[in-house]
Amino acid sequence: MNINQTGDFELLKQLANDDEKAFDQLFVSYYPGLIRFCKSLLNSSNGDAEDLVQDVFFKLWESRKSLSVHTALNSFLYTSVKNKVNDHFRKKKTKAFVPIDSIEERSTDSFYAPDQQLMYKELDWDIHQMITLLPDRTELVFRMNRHDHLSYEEISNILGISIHSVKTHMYRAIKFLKENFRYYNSPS
Amino acid sequence: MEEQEIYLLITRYLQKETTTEENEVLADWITDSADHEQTFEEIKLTWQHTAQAKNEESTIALTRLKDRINHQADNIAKIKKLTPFKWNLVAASIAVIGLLLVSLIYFLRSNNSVSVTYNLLKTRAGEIKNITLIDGTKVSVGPKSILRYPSAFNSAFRNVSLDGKAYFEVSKNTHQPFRVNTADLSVKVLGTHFNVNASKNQILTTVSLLEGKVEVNLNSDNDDAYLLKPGQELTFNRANQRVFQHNVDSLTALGWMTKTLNLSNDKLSDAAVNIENMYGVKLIFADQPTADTRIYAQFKGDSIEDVLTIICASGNLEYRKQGNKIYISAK
Repeated sequence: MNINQTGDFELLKQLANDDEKAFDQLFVSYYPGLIRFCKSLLNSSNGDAEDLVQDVFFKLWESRKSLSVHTALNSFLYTSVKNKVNDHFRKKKTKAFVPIDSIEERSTDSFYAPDQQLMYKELDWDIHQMITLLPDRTELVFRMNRHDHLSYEEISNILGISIHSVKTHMYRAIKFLKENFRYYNSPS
Repeated sequence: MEEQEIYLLITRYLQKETTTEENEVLADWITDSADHEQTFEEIKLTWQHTAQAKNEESTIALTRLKDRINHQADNIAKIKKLTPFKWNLVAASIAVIGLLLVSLIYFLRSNNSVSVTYNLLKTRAGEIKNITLIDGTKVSVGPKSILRYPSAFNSAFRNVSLDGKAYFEVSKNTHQPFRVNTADLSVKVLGTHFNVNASKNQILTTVSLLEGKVEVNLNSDNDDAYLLKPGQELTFNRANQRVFQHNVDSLTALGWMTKTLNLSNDKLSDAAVNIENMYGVKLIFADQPTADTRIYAQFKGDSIEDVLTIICASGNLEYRKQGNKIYISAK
């Protein structure tokens, strides 16, 4: 039903045949999303995220011959990162990660004042920078869906939030991007 | 239908996740009114523009991971080589304890090499750093570049990775070739002087050889190796995957080390990256003809203002500097 999933199947077959190109493609397309996700779980940016995500891909390459993935590859990778982070916390004997919904959000006032927020961007403006202006977890949910093709249900499972919250994040993101995109592209 | 529902339906449709029934609902909704149609078009446009951008960090991270994988492979290869040697000993000797000792030593040795740490040398725009690696190899790392090197060279190759520009004077060691890995190719050397210009966000990768002998291997093609002679240069174009061999223009290749800019009838847009990296500025051209202006000029250690004044004078242009942004337009 999903083009992405038949693509995954092919990709895994190529991996098992030592196809480094396929591996590179997989890495480059999922790395940014997984790093963002990993950082949101660690709640810090001290370089641990880079190491943990690298470990996940390292293991993927090492076990490419024997790998059996029952879910979609995107959801498999996200879950692997999540498990890796749990291990990491267990080793460090610290408390498990902060639930994503308790991370403080930027105030909605600044969120909905794009004209002031973005004026200074002028020439450099582009929609990818606009995505970074979304509240952190809205950005995370949006990118998981838009870039890594995870379904609402998968996102809800991975992040441990309700499908309803996932939908709200998605809706807010699209609305924000659409309105500002029109604002900056309308002939004045 | 509620706004949230319809917004999500549209994006799921664009993501090709909707069922036939949902598509029909959506089609009905769109044809309902001109407003609906416009909303659909706007969301579609927004969605299309949010496709994942090429991410530089990913390529750097991939090079790092490749290093780790190669390193692991080198270690496995070492252990495999030992196996026949061990069996010979078993056949030749009754000294079982001695054998155990020997294999234990080898085991510990091969384990030791795992503890190598990797260092990153990063330079900012306008900055050049010099470093001598553990094997005596001297490297000058150009502006806005990243060199990754290990604290010890314990594997079959002396591996380093580069994103950006660097000049290498490799110390000779025929038993352990030196290898520079970049996004598009790798350069294998025994001992020599050469320059590599390989930035992930630049289409062209150039390897310039001044002394000795190097072998260049494209990452996309494992079978073909290119041998360079002194004074030769190899350029790889990522866009069309072509390889060019020509003679080194040492001023262009090594100019960055002495802050020398050499423009020989080059388009300003092509020279922009060099100028930006050297001076830590951002050039913004008013229009295409301005960016296409061809310039003959040579600078050595000049200030950015002098460089701009001369470029503008010879191209009949004018510039305006605002912070580190420089706006260039026709007069």
